[in-house]
Amino acid sequence: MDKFLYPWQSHVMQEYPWAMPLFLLTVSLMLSVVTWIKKKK
Amino acid sequence: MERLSNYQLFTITVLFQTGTTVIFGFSSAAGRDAWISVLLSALLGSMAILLYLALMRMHPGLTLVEWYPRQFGRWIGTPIAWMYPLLLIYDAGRGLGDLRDLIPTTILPMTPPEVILGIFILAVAYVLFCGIESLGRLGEVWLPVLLVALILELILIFSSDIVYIEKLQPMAGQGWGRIWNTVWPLGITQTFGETIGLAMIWPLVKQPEKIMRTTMAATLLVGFFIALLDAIAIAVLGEATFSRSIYPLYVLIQQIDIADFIQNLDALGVMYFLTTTFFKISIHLFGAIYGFQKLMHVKNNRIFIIPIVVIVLYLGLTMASSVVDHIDAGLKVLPYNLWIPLFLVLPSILFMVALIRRKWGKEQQGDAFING
Repeated sequence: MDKFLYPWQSHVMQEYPWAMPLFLLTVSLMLSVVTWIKKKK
Repeated sequence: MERLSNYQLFTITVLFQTGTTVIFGFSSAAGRDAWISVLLSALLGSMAILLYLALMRMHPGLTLVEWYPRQFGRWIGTPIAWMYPLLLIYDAGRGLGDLRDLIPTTILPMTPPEVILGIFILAVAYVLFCGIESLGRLGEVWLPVLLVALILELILIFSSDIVYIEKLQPMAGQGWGRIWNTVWPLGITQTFGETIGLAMIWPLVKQPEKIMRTTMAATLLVGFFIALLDAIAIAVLGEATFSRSIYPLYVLIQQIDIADFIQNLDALGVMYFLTTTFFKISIHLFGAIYGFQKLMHVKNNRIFIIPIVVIVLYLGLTMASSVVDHIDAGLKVLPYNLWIPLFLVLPSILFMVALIRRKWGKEQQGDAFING
């Protein structure tokens, strides 16, 4: 399970190819909140 | 505001696209037909670049991360836009990962990768603090040096009597299937698809009307340059060595031997690999940092440089346990799970939406004019 914490690692990417796109999307959503809050101000 | 001249954009594009591609031998899986694969990849990759340039023209003055919120609205567009700076950071980490394997196996076997990558990333951080104009000026100086080094290398290779053109034949002897497998998706997305990162700096160019011509000229030059290097590597090493070597162009430089006097030029080769990688990583990171600035609505982007550079160093050091793992992930997974969606699918959808909205907007304007 701890593999999913490091989805950019090559062996994780080969075993779970969907992990990295999912990770990017999750981080993007989290950072989007910052954008939305800053835009509102 | 910092600005780039068209010549600076040309040099940056050439050095960026050459990047780490020359280290591993582009399309080496296509064997003796690798050079055909490169030319095809360049041709089809140019179509993808034309798509990015069309999007740039549809959104004048806006960067890549501003295109998506403009067309899709802030709720859908913002998360999509954020994926690009993050991907640029990941790609920069991959570039650093390439060096992590290259330098210890070639010129500095006893030096720990942490030291090599640490010093390299310090230089990248410095150029990021100096700004894109400094990088452009550095490109202006470096491209002629690189071209002279390449010409010199070609002269030395031909003078060494090691080139056998017949090793390139028969052309497409094992069918076009093997060539096509290296063109799609890796050939198109790697190098040429990655050019979407330059959409972060296109609004900084002084003469926007010349961006299309400059970028296409640079892309075709890079396609020709890599195809030429591949063809010569095959003509010297033969198909088997070219395909099996991890660093075929490094092995090619090692072959230079004139009268037992001019030899061991491999260190020079590694130096120019380092230079092009430096440009690629710097431009990736400039795009990422500029993207962070735009999306976080902050005035000064320098606050992001140190944190992002540290993350990239960490990624570069921890990305792969071996060079085989690193290359396998790059060849078999990355083009499918990240590059096709972000370099081809999303820009195509964006283009269609922008086109429809433009047409619809014009029709509405026309109706308003007729009714009003």
